[in-house]
Amino acid sequence: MSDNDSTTLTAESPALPVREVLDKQLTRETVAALGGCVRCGLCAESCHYYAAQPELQNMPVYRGEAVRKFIRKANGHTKQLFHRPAKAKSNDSSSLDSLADMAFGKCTLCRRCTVNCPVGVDTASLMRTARSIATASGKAPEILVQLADAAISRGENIELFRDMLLDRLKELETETRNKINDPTFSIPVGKKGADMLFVGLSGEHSIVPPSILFHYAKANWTLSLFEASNYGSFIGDSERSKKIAQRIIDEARDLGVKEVVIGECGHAYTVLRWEAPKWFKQALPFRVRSLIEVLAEWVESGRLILNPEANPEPVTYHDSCNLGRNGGLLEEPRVVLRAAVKDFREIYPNREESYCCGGGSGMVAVSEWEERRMLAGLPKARQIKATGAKIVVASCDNCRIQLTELNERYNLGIKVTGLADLVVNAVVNKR
Amino acid sequence: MIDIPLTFLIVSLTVALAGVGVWTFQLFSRDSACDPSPGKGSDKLGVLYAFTLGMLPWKKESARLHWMVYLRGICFHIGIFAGILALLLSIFSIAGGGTLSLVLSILMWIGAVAGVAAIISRAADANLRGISNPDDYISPALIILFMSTGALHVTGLIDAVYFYVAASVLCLYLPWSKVRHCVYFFFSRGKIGAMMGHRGLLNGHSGKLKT
Repeated sequence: MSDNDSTTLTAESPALPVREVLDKQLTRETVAALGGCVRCGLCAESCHYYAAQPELQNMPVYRGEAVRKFIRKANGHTKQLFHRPAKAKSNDSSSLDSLADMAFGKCTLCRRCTVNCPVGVDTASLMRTARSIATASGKAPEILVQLADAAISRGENIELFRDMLLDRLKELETETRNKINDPTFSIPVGKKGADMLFVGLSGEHSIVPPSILFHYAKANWTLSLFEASNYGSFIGDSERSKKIAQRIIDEARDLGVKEVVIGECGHAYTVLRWEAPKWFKQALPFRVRSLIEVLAEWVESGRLILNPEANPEPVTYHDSCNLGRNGGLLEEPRVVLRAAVKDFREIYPNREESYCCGGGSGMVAVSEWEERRMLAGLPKARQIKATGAKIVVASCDNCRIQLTELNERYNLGIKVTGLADLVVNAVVNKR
Repeated sequence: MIDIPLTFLIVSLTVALAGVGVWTFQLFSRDSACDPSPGKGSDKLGVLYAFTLGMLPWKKESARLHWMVYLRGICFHIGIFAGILALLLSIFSIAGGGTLSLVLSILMWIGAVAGVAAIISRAADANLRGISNPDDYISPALIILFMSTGALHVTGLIDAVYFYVAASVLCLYLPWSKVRHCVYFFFSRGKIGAMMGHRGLLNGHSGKLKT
């Protein structure tokens, strides 16, 4: 096999475009993660997979080593030192299968091991590199690739979807007007001169509560035609990720908004707020905030006045890894919850030390990994149970799905909801 | 007349420094993703935090759960630094004095004991054994040898030649060992600290928002 052949994708010989992927992915950060681990094993308990099942294969260091071995095979130790082009001769289809299974199905990129590593080895960045290799080799879970491609296709053919979407939004507007008994309620779309572009998720549950709150707060806003999710980031494909993010950037630019507000979604916030500027090598021409930050500001400033008696049941908050540890939104949800509910209780550990629920980074979309996911969520289920809360707030859709399923599996007796839903209940200053 | 052990040591040190140079080159020849996103906190304070308060044992769950391992690691590394100081004093024939020699010796012995404990616990724990490779035993063993001979030398129990040979062997092995983390440690921890600072993770739990 020649060097050039290593990038060829054929049915007989699985794709091994390792060279291109490594050239792009081996940044300074990844090289440090490759070389910095001393295999002390202190990361073990920080992983929810290990906490649920304390086995060797569930240690972050074990997974990191697997990626190191794969890259070493592809690169050769000496070649790695001197940056010669990588060859992928020694990594066959089965080792790529194992790599893909581990990177997508046994790590949620939560970065809990990274913050607990004495050296600061970013195992998540190695797993993201492994995801990139697997995706480029055609080994990524098909559903994640399809979801990423569907989002790109929607961006390229928005005219085909626009009328259908607008019709449904009209219905939703009418339903919500009746529900809140307010004929002035509206869901504006494509409104030029709006201050804020709100990007929800694919699902009315992510649009209606925020719309009601924007209405009550008299915000000058408009709804995005796109959903905030970015499955390109889950599969470690920077080109797809950029295309998906670009749709929202273009829309915001066309409408001339001052800021883009991302609905209750963990990865979508981190992607647009923190990662996209790195991909495009420049700051975005508008502010990016999470709905949680907007609500916290409005609650603190008195623009939204809340009555905690409206939510009398004990409530706890699950810190999504992408919003909290990776996104920096630790206090904002608590500011809102303390104002919106009567009995707020913390899960331990919380904030940047919070455990992943096991549903992140695309796991909930892959049905064949359900059992794995349920097992990985066991530590979080136990922590929730210990709070005695009846309502669990999760400001991330993947977390909500996972926690709802954990509730059913482990009989937690809870209701899982979004932050905005509780705030809608508690608003006093309605129009 | 050429001092053969000292010459061997100097050659070995050069090899070790060349290894550190290669690792550093390898690291910095790669692109680093600059972060043009408007920060929610201070990158610089984050870096400062990573190398100060962030190093404290109660700041990390992993250290809280394994405080003995944390303490062992601290002792081991202090022993290494004491050994390096003892080696430099010996090479440049600087008389450290009785008290300094005694302190260095004690620190190196503590470091060596911590190293032995680390090797035993690695060998005894099935999971740790599973993730280990030969270097995980060779590197600490050579460092223990370095610290032990150093401790014996500074207290006058053995001649410098043994200390130099132990140091030389360690230096020759160093470029191929996991000791490379001494370069990556500063970069990785600094980066994580900068990220935490930039994204506002260190803005405190006062409830005061910085949006």
